Amino acid sequence: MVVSIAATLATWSLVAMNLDRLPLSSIPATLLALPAMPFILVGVLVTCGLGLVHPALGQIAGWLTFVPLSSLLGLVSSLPATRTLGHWIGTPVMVAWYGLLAALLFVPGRVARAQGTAVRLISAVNHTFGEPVRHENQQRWLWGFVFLALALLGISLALWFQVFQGTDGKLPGYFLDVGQSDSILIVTPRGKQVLVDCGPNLTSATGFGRPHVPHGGAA
Amino acid sequence: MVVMTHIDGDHSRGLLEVLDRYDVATVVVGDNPMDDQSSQEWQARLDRKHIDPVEVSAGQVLEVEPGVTLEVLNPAAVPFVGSGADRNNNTGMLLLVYSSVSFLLASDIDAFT
Repeated sequence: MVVSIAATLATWSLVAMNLDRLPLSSIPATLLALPAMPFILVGVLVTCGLGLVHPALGQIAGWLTFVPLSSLLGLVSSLPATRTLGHWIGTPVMVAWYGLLAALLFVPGRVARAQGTAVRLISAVNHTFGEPVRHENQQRWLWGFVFLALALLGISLALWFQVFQGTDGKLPGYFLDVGQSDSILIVTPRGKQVLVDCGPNLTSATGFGRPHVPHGGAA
Repeated sequence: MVVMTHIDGDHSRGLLEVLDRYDVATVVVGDNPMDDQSSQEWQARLDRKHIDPVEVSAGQVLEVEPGVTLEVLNPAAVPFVGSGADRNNNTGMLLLVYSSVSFLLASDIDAFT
């Protein structure tokens, strides 16, 4: 519950700015999400890692990850609708909000307490596994965390590198059905988009629901 | 990049919305005469978005990115007059070249005899 509220407090201004909605349902949603999250996180990570090795392996892992993810999304989307705000939340409000949160972090004594919590957490984990709380044991756990963090960092760096540098060398052309005349969208291997003509209507290519029409980005 | 081959409404009107909705870096237009209502609407939209279109004619080559080019085959330096469908025949016709493959994007050009 504390985690849910904290997550909501930390993200509401971003959500409100971009989607113009107050995520009222997010607290129950995060509670519901909690059991599914470990499977999703590990699943996505495994998918990404295997996908870097071979696309087919990633595809299989992706199918397995799809199960908890889609059930979670279905559950969350069935929650009551959110409240519309009316676009008064802009960048200044968001900056102010995060400034406030950051300031709270640096309240004197807060940092020391956080370190205390971390140590207590590690002790608690040790207790659960029935081992006596010893200094070297804590050390081992800490190194475990550090190793895990570095591994995650490594994988995510590899992924971003792939996103920005990687190209499959393909040059897809989408011949959009816009009724009369033509509309051809070419996407270069490095992601540049070229649109040649766009049909007779203002909504020819931007109508929602049409396949292969990107909803944003540079053209 | 957006290419407007010629100003006929069935090719160009949809692009008005595209200019509004997307962040368009380059607008390429065939170097052909524009003098009607569609043209005015189009020009007004370009002005509002502060876009200066690149006017091309036969012989020019546009590099989309290294290795991907658009060769301009039409409009010719001297536009067609009295061809029966001048607007269509002065359209922008492009050859998309990537590696050893090329694609002809002919727009509304007529057959020549």
